[in-house]
Amino acid sequence: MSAPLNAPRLGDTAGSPDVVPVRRRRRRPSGEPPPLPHKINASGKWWLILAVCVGGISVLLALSSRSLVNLVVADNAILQRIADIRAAWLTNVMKAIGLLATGPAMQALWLVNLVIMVIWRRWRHLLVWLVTGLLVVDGTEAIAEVIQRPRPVGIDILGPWKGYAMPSLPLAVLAVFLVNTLYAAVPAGPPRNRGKLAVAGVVLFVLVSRLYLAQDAVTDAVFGVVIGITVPLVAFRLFVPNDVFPVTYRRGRTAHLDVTGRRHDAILHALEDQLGVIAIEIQPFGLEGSGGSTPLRVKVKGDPDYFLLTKLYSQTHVRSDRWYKLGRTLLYGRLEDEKPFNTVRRLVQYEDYALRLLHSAGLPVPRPYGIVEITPEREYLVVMEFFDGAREVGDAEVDDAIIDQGMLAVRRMWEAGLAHRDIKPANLMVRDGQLLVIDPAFAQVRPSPWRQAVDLANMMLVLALRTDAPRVLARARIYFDDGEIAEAFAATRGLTMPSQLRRMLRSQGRDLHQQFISLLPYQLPTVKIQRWSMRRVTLSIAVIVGVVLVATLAFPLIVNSPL
Amino acid sequence: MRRIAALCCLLPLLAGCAGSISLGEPPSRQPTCPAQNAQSSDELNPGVVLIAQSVPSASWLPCINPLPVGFRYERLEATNHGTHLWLKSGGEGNDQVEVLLSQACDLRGTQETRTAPTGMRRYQRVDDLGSVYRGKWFYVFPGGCVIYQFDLHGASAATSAAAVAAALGFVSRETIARLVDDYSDGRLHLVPTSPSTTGKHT
Repeated sequence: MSAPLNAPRLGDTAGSPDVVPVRRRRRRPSGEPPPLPHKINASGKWWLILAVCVGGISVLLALSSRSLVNLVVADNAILQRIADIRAAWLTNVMKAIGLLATGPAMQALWLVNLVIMVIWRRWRHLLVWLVTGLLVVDGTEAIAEVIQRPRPVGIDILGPWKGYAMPSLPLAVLAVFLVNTLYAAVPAGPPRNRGKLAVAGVVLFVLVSRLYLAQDAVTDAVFGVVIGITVPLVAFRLFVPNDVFPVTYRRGRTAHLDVTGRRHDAILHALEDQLGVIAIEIQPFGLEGSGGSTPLRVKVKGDPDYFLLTKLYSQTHVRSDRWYKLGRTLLYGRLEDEKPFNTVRRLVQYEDYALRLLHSAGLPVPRPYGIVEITPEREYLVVMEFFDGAREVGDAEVDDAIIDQGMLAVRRMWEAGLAHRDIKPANLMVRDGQLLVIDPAFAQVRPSPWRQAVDLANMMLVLALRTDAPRVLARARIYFDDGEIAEAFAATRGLTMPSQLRRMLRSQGRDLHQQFISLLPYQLPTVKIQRWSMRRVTLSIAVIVGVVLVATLAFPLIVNSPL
Repeated sequence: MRRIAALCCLLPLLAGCAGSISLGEPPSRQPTCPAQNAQSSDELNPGVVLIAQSVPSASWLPCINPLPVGFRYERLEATNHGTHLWLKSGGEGNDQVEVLLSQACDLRGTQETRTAPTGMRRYQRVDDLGSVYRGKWFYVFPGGCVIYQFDLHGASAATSAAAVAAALGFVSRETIARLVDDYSDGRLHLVPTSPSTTGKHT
């Protein structure tokens, strides 16, 4: 069945301004850094240089026993001077300080961190914690085995020790645990800056204590500290940068990026260079309805000023997409194309393409204005028209004209061979009596008939939320025959409806799905949504094995201490 | 391909969570016994110095001469309470010999034997005989005690135990102190902690 010839035309989103560049777009010359360069901070570089020096010296010491002897002699001279000031009371104080770098203290610190990271679901921080901890412990032990430096000779060692001395394992472990704590549990800014001073103080006190007790020589201690600080510092700044994975104690979706500070300035700069517009305000917008990106409303200088909607995507969103699709594959099988995107660039290219496709098909979607690069291969903005003054369909007046537009939108998508795949109240807006469709990130070209049918049923259910089933069905029959509508409700149930739609249906206490079915002259058998394939079976087994393996291997790490 | 490579990198790391694996076995030198009347500073082995530091009172320190065919040095673990050395057999089974140095040994249930190096007394307790040789040999000397702990399998287990024991040796603290002196041109000294007159027999 095709749409009536006198159907209202879709696609003209009245009153929407076109982006008028007020500046000449500027191509970034080769060699110029991108708006938000991906880099580790200066302190990280210095620690990295220090670590490289430590590595070089370690190699030298491993190869030249004469160098090692000279180093031991120099170290011993310092230790001897420290030993000269030993006193009973001071020894007790130093032994007490030294307890900070022992197994029970480290274990307690780790468990506190573990609890914090699990409660606040900082899985990425947890992974970096584990990997850096393992690297430092195993790396330090391996280096010590290669250098084979004995404990300080010629001086009474007053505290416990284990194994070869260089680098100092207790100091390396103390440093890595404290730095990990700093970056996984303490919010950036003043708290973390104060924390850095505290960490420096603790490490320094323990270092002095171990020199006093002659457990380590000076270079053993320094090497341990450098390794213990550099590895987590670089790892956290590279793999869990604060502006992408901020440590906060506020509730909310972790997928949303912080758009203040450097990133804020970078967005302004990038919009000016790449779109030729001058952004004067950036505000997060509709975060609660968006888990897959960070939507931003950008106020642009003009005559008068106007708004743009931008969706900020980063690697974290690609990963979220990957996990989401893995979950869907495990839950459903292969009903749809659940292949994940492997780069941010491809993800934003796809969304921009889908938007353009829907727009050119005459659907009432935002006008696409292109992609803006923030950090190459890491962060991009998809820029589009902002529907100023539009209200979510769940809060708006829905009349027959709106219902017709909804039906026509689905019909247009069917005819164009497209599916939106995420028809829910948050993605349908109403402005000046016009229904607008947003967020085509999941849109699909040449979808399965099942997927197209689901779009129709979800659209009818959303529209019936503000009206009733008989009225929506009556309007739907203008655009679709009973067979198509029956197929839509046979295909749609449970998880095939977006969670927001399911939630709103529950809260209204109306079984709209059943009402539609009972109003139809006949029913079709329910379309099974479970599809089993070799891929799904293999993935399911792999996930179960992976979970068991990780649980088994992680258990000793939780209960044991590296010291 | 990238994911497979990442998985290959991640799995050993995860396996490391078990606390036993490290980033490959570091090339560890065994604590070799210095030659008789060693003069050369090249004879100073850092492992033996570490062993000396682990029990400052011990007048004798365990060390390793060339091992019989099939056995290899595994690792050394020294702390301020003593030293633990592991030797393993390269063949089938879990053949293992451990050498422990501590300040004192529990000699209950042992029998003294006549064959002991000069300046030491030797005791032994063999728990099992037959196709499995499980036993402990104790060497007691002023300021310390060394235990050879055998867990060997096969018909020739007892012979293997004797061969390994013959490859294990002792070096005096004085020798090591002298080598440290020589090695550093007199700039370093292994502190001669006064050893107690006898090992503590409990």
